[in-house]
Amino acid sequence: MSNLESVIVKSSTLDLVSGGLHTINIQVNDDMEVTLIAPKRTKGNALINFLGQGKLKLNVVIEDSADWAILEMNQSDLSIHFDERWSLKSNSNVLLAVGELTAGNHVKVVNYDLVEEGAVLNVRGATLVQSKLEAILTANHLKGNTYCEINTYGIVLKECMLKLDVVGYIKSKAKNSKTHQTSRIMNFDTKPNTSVNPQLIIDENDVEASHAASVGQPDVLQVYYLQSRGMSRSESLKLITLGYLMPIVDVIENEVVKEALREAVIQKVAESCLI
Amino acid sequence: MSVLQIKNLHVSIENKEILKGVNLTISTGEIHALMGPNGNGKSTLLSTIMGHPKYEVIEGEILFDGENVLEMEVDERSRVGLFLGMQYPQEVPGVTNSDFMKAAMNARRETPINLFSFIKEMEKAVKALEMKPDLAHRYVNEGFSGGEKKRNEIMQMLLLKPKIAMLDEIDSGLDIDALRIVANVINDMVQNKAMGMLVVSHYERFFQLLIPTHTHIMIDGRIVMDSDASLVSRIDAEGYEWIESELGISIPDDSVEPVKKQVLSVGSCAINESTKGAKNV
Repeated sequence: MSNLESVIVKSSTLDLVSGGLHTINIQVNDDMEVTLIAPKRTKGNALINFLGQGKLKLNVVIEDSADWAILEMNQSDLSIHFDERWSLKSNSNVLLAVGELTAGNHVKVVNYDLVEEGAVLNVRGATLVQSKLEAILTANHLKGNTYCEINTYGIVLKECMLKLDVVGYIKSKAKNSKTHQTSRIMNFDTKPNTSVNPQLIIDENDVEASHAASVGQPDVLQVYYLQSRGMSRSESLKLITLGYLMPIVDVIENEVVKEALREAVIQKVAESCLI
Repeated sequence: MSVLQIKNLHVSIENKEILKGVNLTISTGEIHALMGPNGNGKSTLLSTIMGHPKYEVIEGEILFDGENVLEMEVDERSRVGLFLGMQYPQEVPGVTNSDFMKAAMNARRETPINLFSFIKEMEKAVKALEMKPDLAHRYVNEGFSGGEKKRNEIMQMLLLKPKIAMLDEIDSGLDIDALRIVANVINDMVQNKAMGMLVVSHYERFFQLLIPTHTHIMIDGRIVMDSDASLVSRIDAEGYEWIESELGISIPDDSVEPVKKQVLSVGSCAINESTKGAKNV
């Protein structure tokens, strides 16, 4: 097991290195295109940090039978326009966590293409919107026996905005595919500044699909319960927020990195003004 | 010694008066059993003392060591030494029991508890209540059985060391062995740590293990009878009808329903019918 760190500052292609943890820092500037490839039958963990500002076209190719747990962390407090396209090939398996915990204004257009039979993708998103985020996440099932589950958990702070579209698209000839999505958004503002739009588009028979979405204020009974144990309202809201966001960290197996990420999430929540 | 005093307490929910003048004094070292038919205000009393946001106090006082509890926020009430073991403990997804308990313990300390001391205290509590060792790493009450939730409430009480603790039907969901374990912990706290208790339960079995110093019967939002532990046995044997005839009162037919868990999230859900010939699910 070995750990490797890569820094990308210009358009390039990089192979993910099997075993250990591969940390990739992408410094976005102007208009760049980065391609990451997980070669056939590789297995490992990757942490991808996004910094800087500009437009980023990110291609991620998961080759046949590759098995990866990947955490994407947006670290930019500026503005990045993401155009991401994932291609999952035959019998590949990806557990993907996506952390959006910045004070920047970001746009994300993400296509998860399950291009060959047996591809499996589980996505867990944690979003703390401190400014503005617009995201369209689409799972495209292009072949049969593919599986995709997208779970997004988000907190929208006062005076902030989130627009989230999640689409599950099972195309013709993608028999026995399964697409599921859940979006849970907690809005700390009383204004209707959050919209979540789940969509399922099914062009084939013999498939499974489901969606669930909710947008609401913090649960007063949950807050009451925590306050009844001595925590202030503010501390209670922070703990509930951490509960929403923290599970993304579990994607990474490396305990040292996991602890550092935990601390980073705690720091981000502590810095944000929740009430 | 700490004292909780409730004086002429009137409480309403959604403009319906539930408590109609409750008077009660609890001191450390005492165990008060509060019994009564369902829907007569027992849980309302406990929740009001703790500061549940749904209840409105329309008259009366609650004093803790002379301080006005009604002017305190919920968290302040906890920090001065009040505790409520809830009938339906909330789940807090994504928050581990250890993070939750550490935050709760730190909320009442000048400096944060060090990790070693915290782990030691939590392990001791888990052992005393014979809980599963993975408890610290599980999310608060998520996926817990009914009995595990109730033991978890008692574990919190053990770690937070309140001066006056209230338990709302904490025995429901506990099997006979768990009931004994929980009762031992409570008795130990009352005897050794100078804690007072207000315990709501319908069952003599629990009070045989706790031995209350006082027993109160609540009917129609009032405490209509006070006695010692012997009253529990009589209620268990004869029910409440004899109280109606003895005191010339009647148990209301329209007993108020317990507060139901309200769904507070506003859900939105949509399927966009798009693309030609697509079959929407």
